Amino acid sequence: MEGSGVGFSYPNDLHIAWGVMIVLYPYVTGLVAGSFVVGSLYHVFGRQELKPISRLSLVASLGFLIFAPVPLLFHLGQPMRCFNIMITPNFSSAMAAFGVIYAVYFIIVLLEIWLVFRKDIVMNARQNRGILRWFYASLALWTYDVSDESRKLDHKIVVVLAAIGIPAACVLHGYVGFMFGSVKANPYWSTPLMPVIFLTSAITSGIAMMVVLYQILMKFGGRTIEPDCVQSLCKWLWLFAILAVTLELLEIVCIAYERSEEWVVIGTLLSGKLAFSFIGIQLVFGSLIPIILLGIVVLMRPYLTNPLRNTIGFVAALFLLVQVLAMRWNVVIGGQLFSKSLMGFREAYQPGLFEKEGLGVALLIFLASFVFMAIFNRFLPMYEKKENGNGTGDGAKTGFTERREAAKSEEARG
Amino acid sequence: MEHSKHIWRAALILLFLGTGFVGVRHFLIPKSFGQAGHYRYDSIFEYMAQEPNHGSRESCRKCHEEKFAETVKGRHAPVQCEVCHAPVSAHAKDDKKIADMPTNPNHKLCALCHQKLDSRPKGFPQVDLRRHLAGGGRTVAATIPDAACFECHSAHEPSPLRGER
Repeated sequence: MEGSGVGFSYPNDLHIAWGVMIVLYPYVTGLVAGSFVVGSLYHVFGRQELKPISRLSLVASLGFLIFAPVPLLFHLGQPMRCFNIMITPNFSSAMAAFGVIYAVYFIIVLLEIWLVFRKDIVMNARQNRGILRWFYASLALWTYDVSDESRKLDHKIVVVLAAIGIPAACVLHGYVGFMFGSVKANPYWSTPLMPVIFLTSAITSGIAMMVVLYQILMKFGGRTIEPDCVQSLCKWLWLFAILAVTLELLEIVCIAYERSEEWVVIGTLLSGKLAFSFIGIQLVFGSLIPIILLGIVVLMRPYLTNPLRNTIGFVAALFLLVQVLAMRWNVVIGGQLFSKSLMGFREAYQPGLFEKEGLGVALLIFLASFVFMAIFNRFLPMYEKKENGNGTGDGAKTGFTERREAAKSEEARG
Repeated sequence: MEHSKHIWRAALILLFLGTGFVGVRHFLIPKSFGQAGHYRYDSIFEYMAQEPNHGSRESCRKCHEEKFAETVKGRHAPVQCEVCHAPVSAHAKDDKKIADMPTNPNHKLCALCHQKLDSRPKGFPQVDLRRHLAGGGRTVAATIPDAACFECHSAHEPSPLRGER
């Protein structure tokens, strides 16, 4: 290390202050933005094949949104002061924007979910008695109008809200990238590419989460996995994964090719301390493998049976979820591993399991979003009650084997 | 517009919440906030009214001249008494003793400055505590005894080693 010009840290530049909680925060926020964008593909852009996840994506977005700021509260020494960011926002600080962006986005998601589920709310209000009736009636704001006209109006507003929601989601997550991209003193973070990188990887993680959640929910609910829905999700996931990985690499390649003074420490970091999580997890395990798998799903559609395609999509999505988490880790922790002298490293970072900002709390916060979704689903089911039949819809006959058999039987008849 | 009743109600609730927020905000913002910057100006006067806790080395010198003399000629000369001891307010008031000075003979206190770290300047006395203790015939201890450092070093004049002097 001494010989390579790396080995000096500033005395006051030793500890890593942003730990697992600050890794989790952009990850969960990314899932918010990503799942909302997928939902909007149906609500605004009319991708009918994505109808099966239109409700799931909204509820998931709300679930993640509620718990997105929680890691920040665990990180803060004085969490009760968080309200100051809303009450006396200092707009010369980028962090102050969080209060406004979060509040606006929260209202948009809440309104959209309310309008999408309004018919179910009214039905439940009519069917239930006692406290449940009161609960649903209050959710319906004591108006039970679900006539076609009112539903049409709801739909129009949903489209408008989703259309406002897309830029809002982009701002929400672009802002998280901006928080890192605007840190002038850190050459690994300080690039205008950062918000874009965060945004594309957010959408990637959101779509990947939909592929995983949708298939799990359908499997355990004994319902049909719509092949067109998975196919379309895989296609979008492929596109955004390629975009995200390309941008992530471009940032590194730019720094590497410029060979400026910061490359000495960043290059040593990426090939040394971060070799496992950057090269191993983020690039090979999390990017190369799923992009090839999704390429197979998208390009070789006629040769894949539905279960095979679903499985490949599921595995690729899981890998991509890990990739995005690894990317957040590498940016947040990696960016703090080197001293501001750009000539030495800080102490290694190892999060504890049972501490305030430890892995246990991080896992609980992450799982809390899913608990919220389960509770939401208990009161307002995202899917119709179980369908008749054994779980193979019409769409199931589009696989290669089935069509070959169908062609054979036609030949035999002909 | 007869089918838009629910929308109007939702809009009304939002309006109510928005106005509520503005109203609550009005009462939550302290009066002197923003008077001289993005902070509560009165807080300055509240801090000014507080009794100081630390009294600097000079306040200790009044009663502990011999310790003062010992410290200023040693290598710990730049270190103020209250860095290792408690603030003077825990011990004396108006130049009169009010309680025993709490002491902290734990090795972790010494380690704050002397634990070996890459980022400390070269030439600064720093040790890997376990290895350092292993010298002198000892084995590397699993746990370091609390007052281990003071067996050989004096806190007021830490070098040369007490044993060699």
